[in-house]
Amino acid sequence: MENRLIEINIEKIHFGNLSIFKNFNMLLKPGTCIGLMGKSGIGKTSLLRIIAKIDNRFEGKLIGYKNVSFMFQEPFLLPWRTVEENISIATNAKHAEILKSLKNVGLEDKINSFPNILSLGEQRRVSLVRTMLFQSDLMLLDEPFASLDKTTKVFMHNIICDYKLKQQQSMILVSHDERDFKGLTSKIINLDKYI
Amino acid sequence: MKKNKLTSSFTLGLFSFICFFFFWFILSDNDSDNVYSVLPSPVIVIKLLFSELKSGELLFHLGHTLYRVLWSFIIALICGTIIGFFMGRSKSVDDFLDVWIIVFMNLPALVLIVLCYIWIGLNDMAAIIAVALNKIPLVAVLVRQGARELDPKYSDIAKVFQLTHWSKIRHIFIPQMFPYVISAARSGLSIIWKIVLVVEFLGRPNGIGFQIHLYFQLFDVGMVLAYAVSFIIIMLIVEIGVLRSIEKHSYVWKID
Repeated sequence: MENRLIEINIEKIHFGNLSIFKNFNMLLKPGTCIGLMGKSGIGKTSLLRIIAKIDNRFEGKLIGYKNVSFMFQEPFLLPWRTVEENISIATNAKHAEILKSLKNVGLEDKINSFPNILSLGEQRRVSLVRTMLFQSDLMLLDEPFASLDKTTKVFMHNIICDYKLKQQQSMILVSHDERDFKGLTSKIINLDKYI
Repeated sequence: MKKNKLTSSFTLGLFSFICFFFFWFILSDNDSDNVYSVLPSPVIVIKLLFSELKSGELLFHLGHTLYRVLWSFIIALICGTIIGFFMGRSKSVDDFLDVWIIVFMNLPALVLIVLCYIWIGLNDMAAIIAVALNKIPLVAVLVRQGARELDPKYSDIAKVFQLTHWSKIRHIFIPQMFPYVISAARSGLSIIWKIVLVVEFLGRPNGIGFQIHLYFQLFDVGMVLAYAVSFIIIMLIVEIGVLRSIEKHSYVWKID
């Protein structure tokens, strides 16, 4: 994990002939978490994909990080691999480490299950474990609490808070609900003004 | 419930099989002394089959045919999968090779067989290449479809979690391509063994196709059927015992 200031400077994101986001700048101190919010369809996920270096249709600079762990809005687990395999393939984590992390999220009994028998909340928790076990300079969380019931939401929120505190992980959290940022982010950026 | 369904589908399959033999028996000529019967009964054919098995002739020719089927199948599946994958992933490769696929798909098997025998010689290599060339375009077309439909979200995962090329192939590409490859393998096998018999019929000194050619010249329909039935049995074993088992094992995640 690099202990550097992360700088994200995006002048434009290209969408065919269209351009979205003008002069978006963000500085992230090591171990801090910044919240990004904005209305639906504004391009929050597109921005995260650029920051994650999945998409390079943009003008600007991304400085201060190499590896990114990304918790996608949908869990995106490989349906043909078990929970343990899904985590180990992405993170190279050993069995004991995976089991311990799954215990933390209450899914140790699902370690050998295939994702299709898990509920959305359970799949999200597996996806979170996968993201947390991947050693990275920056963690991106795209609407991690969307479409979850209140109990699961609070449970996952606490897990992320604990992890951030223990690991001093730099994070960017995207949500359309301001309440999701509580206790996690040091700053919230409203993306509406960059359109 | 599931077990009941399986039992009933097995019973229906068995019933259909019995019906087939029953109608064959009704339509056939039951005179075992008539060597020139146009349709000998299943009992006579099975007797002939066992006598050929006992003499070792059947196993000898079956071995040669299976050898050709196996090699043609492996070559066609490997080449077709590689070609189809790159065609599905790259538009320029697809544009470049598409016309060749159309040409080879429409070229009669017989033309390729004759040309291979003329250019390479009357040997096993020519026979195997001719059969494989007939099959490669079909495998490529099926696999191309699979490669076109690879889900980009899994490629995003591979990118974010920095999977190695091998890991990407093993955990992301192969599982998504598998239904297309297995479908190509199943359709391929049935076509390959038919073409292998033609290849043997035309220019090999052994194999089931050669034997059928021989007994065709002698107008011995019983022996033609005995050799055909033996090969159908082998292909059923391969289809049910091998290909379906592989398929079932690979879809265990869907059954869970």
